[in-house]
Amino acid sequence: MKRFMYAVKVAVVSFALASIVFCGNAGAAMDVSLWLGGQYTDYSDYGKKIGEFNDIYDDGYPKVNLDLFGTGENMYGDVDGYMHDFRTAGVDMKMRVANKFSGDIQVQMFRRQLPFNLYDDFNAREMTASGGAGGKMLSHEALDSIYDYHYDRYSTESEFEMLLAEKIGFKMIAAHQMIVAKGHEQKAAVTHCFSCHAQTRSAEKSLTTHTAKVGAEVTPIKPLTVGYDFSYRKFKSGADDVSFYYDPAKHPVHGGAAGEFGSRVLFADTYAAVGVYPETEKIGSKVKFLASGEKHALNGSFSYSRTENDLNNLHNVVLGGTMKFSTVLSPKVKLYANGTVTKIHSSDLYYDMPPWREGQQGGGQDIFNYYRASSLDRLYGKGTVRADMMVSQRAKLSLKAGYEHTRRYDYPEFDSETATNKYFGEGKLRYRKGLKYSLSAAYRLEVTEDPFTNYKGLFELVGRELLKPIGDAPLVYYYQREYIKYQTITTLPTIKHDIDLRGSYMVNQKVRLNAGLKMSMDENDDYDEITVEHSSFRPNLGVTVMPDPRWSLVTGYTYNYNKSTGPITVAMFDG
Amino acid sequence: MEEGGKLMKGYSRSIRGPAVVGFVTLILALTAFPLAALGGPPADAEYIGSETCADCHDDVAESFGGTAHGLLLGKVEKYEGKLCESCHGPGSVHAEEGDAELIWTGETMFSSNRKSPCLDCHTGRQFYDWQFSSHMTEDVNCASCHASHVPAGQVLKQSTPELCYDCHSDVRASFYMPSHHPVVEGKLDCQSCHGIHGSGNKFAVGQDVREQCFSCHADKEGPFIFEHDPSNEDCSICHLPHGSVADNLLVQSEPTLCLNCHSMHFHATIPGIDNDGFEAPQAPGRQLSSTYDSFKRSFLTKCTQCHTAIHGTDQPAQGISSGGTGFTR
Repeated sequence: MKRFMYAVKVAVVSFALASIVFCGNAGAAMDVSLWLGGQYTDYSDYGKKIGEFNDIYDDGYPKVNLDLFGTGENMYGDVDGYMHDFRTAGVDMKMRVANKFSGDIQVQMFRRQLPFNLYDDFNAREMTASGGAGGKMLSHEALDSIYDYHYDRYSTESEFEMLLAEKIGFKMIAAHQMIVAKGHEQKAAVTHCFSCHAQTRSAEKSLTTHTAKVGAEVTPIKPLTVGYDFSYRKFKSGADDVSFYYDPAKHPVHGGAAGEFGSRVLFADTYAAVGVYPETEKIGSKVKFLASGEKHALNGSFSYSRTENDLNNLHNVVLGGTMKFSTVLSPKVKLYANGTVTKIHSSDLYYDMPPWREGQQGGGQDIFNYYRASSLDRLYGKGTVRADMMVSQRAKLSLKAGYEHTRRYDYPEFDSETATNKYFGEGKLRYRKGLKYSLSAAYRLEVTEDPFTNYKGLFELVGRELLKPIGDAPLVYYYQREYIKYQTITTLPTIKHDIDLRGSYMVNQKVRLNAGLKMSMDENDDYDEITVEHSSFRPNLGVTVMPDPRWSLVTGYTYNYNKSTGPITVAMFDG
Repeated sequence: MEEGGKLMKGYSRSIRGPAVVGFVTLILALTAFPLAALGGPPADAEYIGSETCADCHDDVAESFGGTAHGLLLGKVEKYEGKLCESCHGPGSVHAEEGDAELIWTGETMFSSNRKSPCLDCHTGRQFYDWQFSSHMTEDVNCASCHASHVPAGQVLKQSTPELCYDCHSDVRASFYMPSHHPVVEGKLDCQSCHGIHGSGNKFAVGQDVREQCFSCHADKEGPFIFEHDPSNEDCSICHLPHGSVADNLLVQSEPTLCLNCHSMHFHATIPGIDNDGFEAPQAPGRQLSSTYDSFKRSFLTKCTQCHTAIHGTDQPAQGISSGGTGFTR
C-alpha cells in the first residue's frame, strides 16, 4: 500500500508540474464537468444459484465523476476522476503537446469480494443401501472464523511517448503498470486421503505485479517503420506461507488401521504449506516492422520471452513471429493474409520429493521422484486469408479461411506427440448506409481434428498401466473413460457452426436501435454411443437514447439459452 | 472410437479441397465484376477553401474554430488554407452538386480499402497495428466512435463502455451474467484488456496467447512443477472472459466443465437413497448409496473446493495415485 501511495504521489506531482507549464501557455482554456449518477443492479435468484458468493451489488450504486479538460495553443490536458465509494475510485490524467509528447497516468482502486466460506456445506456421510452407517465420511473444519474474504486492488498505469527526431520519426516510449492486491483469502487443505476431511483458515493475501516496458521506433526510409520493445514483469507474494497439519489418516470405520490409508497418501503426521504463490520474473523482447503504402501493407514482428519461477528454478522460453499482409487488388477488393508461429519450450526438472514415503506401504520414495517432462513444450501456428469485396457502394462481402495447428511435445505417455488441427471458414455479408443503419449476417464453420485433451488423468499416476475394460459392464462409457484419460478422446467439439445476425438503425441523432441474434452449435461425435452437443441461442435488443451529449440512456434485453448433452463418466478410482 | 476419429478427419479432408477452390473462384469473379464507383471526391475535384464550405455549413463553421482541429489544422504546413478540406478532401464537385457522397465524410469513408485521412496526423503508437485491426477490417472507421467538430474533451460520441455496446451488444449482455469482469460496476473498462485501435494489450510480454490475461493474473502463469494442461494452452478453454452463468467466469459450471476431460469421483456417482431423480452410471457391483443431498453437493458442485491449485502448483498433492498432480495444495 505504501508503494502504491508513493506511485500515486509521483503521478500527481508529475502531472501538476506539467500543468504549471501548460497553464502558462497562451490561449489556454479550461472545461470543468461534473457528473452525478448511479446504477441499480438486481440479480434474481442469483443467491440460490451461486450461493457461496456475495460479491454482487444488489442495490443502488452511486457514482461521481469530475473531469477537468484544458486546451492550449498546441496542447491539451485532461484529468478525469470518478468515485463510487471510498474503496472504488480512479483517476486518469492525460496530456499531449502537439505531436511531440503524450503522457497518460491512470490510478485505480477497487475491492473484490471473494467467495465466503466455500466449505460451509461440506459435511456428509455415506450410508449403505440398507440404511446402516458406514462408508465414506466427508467433513470440514474451519480453523478460524473470519468469513469476510476480500482484497483491495490498487493499480497504476503510466505510458509516455516522445518524438525525438521528427524527420526520421524517432520515438521513444516508456510504460509501467503496478497491480497490488491486499486482503485476506480462504486457504484449504485436504488433510486425509483425497477428500475425506478439509480444513480451512484465513490467510493474508499480498500480491504485487510490476510490468515495465521501454521501446523505440524509427522510420529510416518511408514507408518502412521499425521498432523494438523490451518488457519486464515481476510477480511475487509478500504474505507468509500458510501451513496445515496433515495427520496420519485413519479409516473412519476401522479406526486404528492407519497402515491401510498410509499406503495411499504421500505424507502424514507433518506440516505442509498450501496455496504457495509462485514468484516469477519475465523478460520479453520484440522487434517489429511496418511497411505501409497506398495499396499494400506489411506488418511483422519477432518476439522472445523467458519466464522463470524463482521458487523452483523452472523456466520457459517462447519464440514467436507474426506476419500480416494486405493488398488492394482492385478498388473493390482487398486481400489480407496473416500468419503466426509460436514455439514454447520449458526446462526439464528433476523433482526430488521429501522422504515422506519411506517405510510406508504401497511403494517407497523412488516411485515419486521423477523428471518433470513439461507439458508446456508446444508449437502453435495459425494462418488466415481474408478477402473483402465491395459488392456495391453499401454492401460488402467478406470471406475468410484459416488453419490452426497446435503440436504438443514430450508426452510421457505412449511416446506420442499429439497435435490438434483446426480448419475454419467464414462468410459475412454486410449492408450499411453510412451511420444511418447497418445489417450483417455471418456464418462460421470450424472443423477440428483431435481437439485439446489432457495428457494425464487428474487422479491417475503418470505411467500407470492401462486398466482393462470390464467385459460385462452394462455401461459402455466405462470403456471410454480410458480414452478420455489417455488423451485419445475428449468432449470438446470437433465441428462447430456459428451464426451471427446483427442490425442497427439510427432513428435520429438522439436515438439508436440495435438487435442481434447469435447462435452456436457444436458437437463431438467421436464417441461410439453418444454425441456430445452444445448449443446456444442468444437474441438481443438494445436502445440508446442521447437527448444531449450529457445524457446517455442505454437499455437492452438479451435472452440466453444454452444446452449441453454429454456423458457423465464413471468413477476414476475404487474407494 | 478410433473409427469415429478417422471419420471426422476424412470429413474435414473432404470439404477442404472444394472450399479452397470455391474461395479462390469467388474472389477472382468479384474482382473482375464491374461495380459502381465508391464515394468520395472525384478525381477532377479541386480545393476551394473553407469560406465556400461555410456558405452552407455555417453551424459547423461557427463553432469549429474553438475545437482542437480548428485550432491545430491551420498550423500544419500541408493543410494551410484548406481547413475543412484537410479531412474531407477537395470539395469543388461537392459544392457544385451538393451531393454528400462526393466528399469524404463519416459515411463515405466506410471502407477498409481506404486509408483514413485521420491517420495522416494521428500517428501515435496506438495506431501501429490499426490497418490489421478487427475494427479496421470491419469498417469501423474513426467517425464510428469519434466526433471531429467538437472540443477535444468530447471526441468520443459516448462514454465507454456504452459506446462499445452499440455494436457489441452480446458482450454487454455477458457483463450482466452472474459472474463477470466488473465492467458494469465501473471497476474496469473495455480498454483495460483491449487495444481499441489494434495495438493489443500494451503490457503484454511476449507472444503467448495467454498474455492478455497474465498482464493482470500473473499468479496463474507459472511455470509450475505440477501443471494443468488447459492452463498452459489457452485460458478460454475453461473461461469466458466477459461473463458467464457459472462461477469464476467458467464456460460451464463445475463439475460439468471438469468432466469434459476427467472422470468423476467414485462417490459422486452413487445415486441418492431417496431416488430423487439424480442418475449417474456407477461401477458394476457397487451397492452404496449416499444418504443426504449434502453428499452429492459436496462431490458434485465444486471440484476446486479440494483441487484448489487448479492452475498449477509447485506443491505435490497428498494422494499417491495422482503422482503429486492432484492440485490440492
